[in-house]
Amino acid sequence: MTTQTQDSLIEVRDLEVHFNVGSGTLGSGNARRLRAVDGVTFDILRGETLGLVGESGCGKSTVGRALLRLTDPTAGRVLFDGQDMGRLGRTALRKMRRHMQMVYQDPYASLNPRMTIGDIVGEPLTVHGIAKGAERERRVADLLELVGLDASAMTRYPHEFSGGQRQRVGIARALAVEPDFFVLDESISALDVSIQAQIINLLKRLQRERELTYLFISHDMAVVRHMSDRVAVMYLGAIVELADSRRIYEAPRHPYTKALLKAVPVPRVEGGKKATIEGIKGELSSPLEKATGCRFRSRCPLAEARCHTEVPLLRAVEKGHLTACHLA
Amino acid sequence: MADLTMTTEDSTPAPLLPVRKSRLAAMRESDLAFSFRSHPSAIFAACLLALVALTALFAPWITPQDPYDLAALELWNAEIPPIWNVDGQWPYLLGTDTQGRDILSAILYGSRISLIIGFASVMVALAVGLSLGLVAGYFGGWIDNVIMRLGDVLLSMPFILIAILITAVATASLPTGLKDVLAAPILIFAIAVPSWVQYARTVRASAMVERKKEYVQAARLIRVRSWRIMLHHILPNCLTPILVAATLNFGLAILSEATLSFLGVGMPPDQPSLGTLIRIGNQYLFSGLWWIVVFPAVQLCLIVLSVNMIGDWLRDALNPKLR
Repeated sequence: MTTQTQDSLIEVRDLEVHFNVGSGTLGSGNARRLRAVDGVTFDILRGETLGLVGESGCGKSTVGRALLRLTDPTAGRVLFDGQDMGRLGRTALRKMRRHMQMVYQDPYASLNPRMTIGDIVGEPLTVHGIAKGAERERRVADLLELVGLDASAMTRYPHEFSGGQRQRVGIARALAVEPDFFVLDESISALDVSIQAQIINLLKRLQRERELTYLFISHDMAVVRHMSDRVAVMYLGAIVELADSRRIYEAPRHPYTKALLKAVPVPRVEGGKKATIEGIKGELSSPLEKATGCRFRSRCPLAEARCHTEVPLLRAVEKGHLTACHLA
Repeated sequence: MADLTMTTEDSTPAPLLPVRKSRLAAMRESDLAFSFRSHPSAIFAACLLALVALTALFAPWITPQDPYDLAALELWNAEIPPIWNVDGQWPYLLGTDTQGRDILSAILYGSRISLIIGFASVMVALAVGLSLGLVAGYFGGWIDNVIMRLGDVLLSMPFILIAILITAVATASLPTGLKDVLAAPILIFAIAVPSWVQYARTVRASAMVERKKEYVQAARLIRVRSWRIMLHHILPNCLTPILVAATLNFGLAILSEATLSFLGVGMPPDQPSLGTLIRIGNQYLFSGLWWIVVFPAVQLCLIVLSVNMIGDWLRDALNPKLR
């Protein structure tokens, strides 16, 4: 089902994250379960960037949070470097988490406005007992320089910086504990396009220099293509297609992936052919009900009888190209 | 951006750490200081409060007599009216009471007790309210329920009733000698008990907002311990509304203390606060010795007024919507 030939850093098996919603006043019993992530299986190979795309609310951020145990999975396993994170005790989990960090979407909310940059980047060093005093300051200065900021930023506060600079601070903070794995949750979506490129290049350079593995979560197809080695497409809590980045963009097999790619706006050259952007028609199925057939059938132009009764499983249509569609 | 990424080309290496601006300089340049300078009422109130606090603090050195040293009191100095009256006498600026005690000295000593009790009770209530509110807001769940319901119960009873209950029970159960020694601590406790709820509610509301922000998540991911997240990350971001509430409550606490003392369950007559002075003076109001009650009452009004003016200014100055 997954590519086992290469060394996997993270193995996710049948991951489910359900939330209880609408518990009702005084527990009047209309509680329902939202299936944010509903049985997801994939590997992230050492040193690669796995892109995770999908529309808002499809569960991609929840997958990222579950990997870091910021959200507890309802079912399924997450293995980091061969170790089952669900079975680790508190201390072991604490140690393990040092290897996994996250860079957040909102560069304004992700830095404490009352702390100096030096304290923000230095806190993980103190907490993990890595360095203190002058050694800590030297390390913070190194980290800031590594992400392209001047060491003099240390004594300043977050509000003195632009969005891109703040995102660099967030990256420096995540780097402080010398992690192997980053979850980049829409890390550049909130930035200006020109700044996005800078941050992407920074992330790529860091990946080369520090042998980092990335899970790159985004709704921006173009950025994901540029960033990722492989791409997983999520729809309503499930992965519908997973393949090499090139294959996803050039030879998508799942109708949802095709529809997503058609919805990407294309710049038109003066006098050129007018590009058509096709939105996806139809209604999103409810994430509150257990899937009885293909999750995409309500919006799929190709849907047939089988799609209503049989849940399509993720299967290899070619080597390293998985898709969950009866018709692919 | 440019000034940050530029590297110094000089042969001398740039200092790793630029000199931090001194706290005082930073304070002088802050928005709050600017707002203070442009609000005459705030300046006036602060000066008034500073004057009251300083004279109260240095009372033993500036008053003509120690009003509680019975040896210093002479009965032939009793019932002297204020100095501007024809019968007025130096150095009794505001006159004397029925035992020859200088009213001004009594007021300054009394203000000292009132200010200390007001300040201490706010501090105690703050300590309790902030910790409980932080815990309730950060952890949520049953612990939040227990703390906030306890607060609701306290708020469902009149403030002054709880305070009277506590002081009455405490004074009734203590031996006479201990009663006077512990009068101030009991009052502080009695005023703090019903007033921590407001701080707890305020900080809980802010903590619930802050804990969902990404910087708190990031701290958790770095495995910063819960107590450290609460103290270093959440608390500093909740302090603005607390500062305003604490200032306004400082005025209220002084008033509560005066009320309790006026009702006779507060400070004893041999170490009177402003409330006790007013209670004692009240008996002579209709015998024409008006100065015994009016001047302590004026002092009480001035203190509470200046505290409230500062509180109102702070509330406006710290409100981002009014800037």
